[in-house]
Amino acid sequence: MKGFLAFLYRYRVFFFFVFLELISFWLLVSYNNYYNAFFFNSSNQLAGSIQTTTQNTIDYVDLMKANEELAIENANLRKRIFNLESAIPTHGQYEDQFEVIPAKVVNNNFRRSANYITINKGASHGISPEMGVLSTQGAVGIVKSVSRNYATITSLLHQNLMVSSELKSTGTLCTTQWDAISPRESKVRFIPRHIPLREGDTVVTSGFNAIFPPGVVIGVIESFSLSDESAFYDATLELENDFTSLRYVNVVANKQKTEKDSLEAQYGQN
Amino acid sequence: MVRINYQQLVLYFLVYVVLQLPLLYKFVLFDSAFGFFYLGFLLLLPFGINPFIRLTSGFFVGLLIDIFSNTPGLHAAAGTILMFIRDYWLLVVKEDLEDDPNLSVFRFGMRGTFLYLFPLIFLHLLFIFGIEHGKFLGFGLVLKRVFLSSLFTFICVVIFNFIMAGRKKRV
Repeated sequence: MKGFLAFLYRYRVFFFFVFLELISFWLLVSYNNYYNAFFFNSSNQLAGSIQTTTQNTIDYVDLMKANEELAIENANLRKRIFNLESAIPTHGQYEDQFEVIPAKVVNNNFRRSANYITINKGASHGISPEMGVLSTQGAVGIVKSVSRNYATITSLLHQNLMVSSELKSTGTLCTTQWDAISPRESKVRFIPRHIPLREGDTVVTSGFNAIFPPGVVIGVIESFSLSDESAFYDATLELENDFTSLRYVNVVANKQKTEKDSLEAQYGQN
Repeated sequence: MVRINYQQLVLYFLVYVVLQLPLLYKFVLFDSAFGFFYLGFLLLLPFGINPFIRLTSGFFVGLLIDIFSNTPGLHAAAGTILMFIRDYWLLVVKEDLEDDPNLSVFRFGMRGTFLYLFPLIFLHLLFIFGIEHGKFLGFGLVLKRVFLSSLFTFICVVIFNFIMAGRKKRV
């Protein structure tokens, strides 16, 4: 026993080192596994407020560009409203089910292998983890964790994020997952080989996982290949969203998510 | 025996670490060279301080960076490793460390600075980008990112140090 204690004492620095490493990896692994599990991310107050200040400074510098973008966006939205109003006489069900919370991006990464976005709205504005995030162009990501006034979003540009999607033309179910190569492109997986795929096909969210509303545009098929032994296409899509200049996003709250999830849990789905 | 220069240490912390926080992952060249100049603080901590303090500072500075980059534990793990091997590497590179524990670019000379800083920065960033990427597919891209980032980080650390550690402080 005495020898063992002497051994511990002799290598105490090394053991301390191992101890710190274990804490680090525990943090790392648990952050990847659980939603909203920890304080140590950019949705806490201090990090959020510093990032807001930084973003405000940057915004002030390109105010001109932002104005232009907003004007164009306004015009596009107005056009869409006209189109939608004429197409759907009553839009009751959709409106009741989803609530939209607008937010401003205060921090955005797109050059890393795993990217996150921070926005300036949080739990006090009704945001909670696992809500979908859209921009006017298309899907952006899923809320990972929230504090009172900020929320961290797992961007579509994250290798572990799989979005349940479908081909608009055929309704085929597939999965969109980023391959960490370019912020303009993403992979589409599990499109079976009997589907006639064409370049330019639109990929939209399926709405099956109750995070995104159905039919939100993700991107357009840019290229694909099909090897002889593979059951699925190897397809790449060009993302509709320009993640390099993301300024404003909408968080979508699905009021019926809990109901759907608990119903599905009864039969062991998911 | 020269005492540790605490004034300089505080200055290092403010410039290297506090300035890094708003600029993290925003200080980018050519879309792949990231400037992680917070490493300057860890690498230029005085030689020979209590190893527990050394490891702990590596851990907590890393954790602070993690909070801002949404990677809890990643920079902390890398920072702790860096601080663990730092003093051994320092003994290999430089000899007269016992006279003055304070470190700055002027004490190493250009060649010594490169020899001391670059390999450690490279290993640190290889660890961070490697784990973040998490697979071997597309690892060439990661290596390019690591190499360019190491160069950029090295240049940032050296330039900041030129500005902060005046020649007159050299003993």
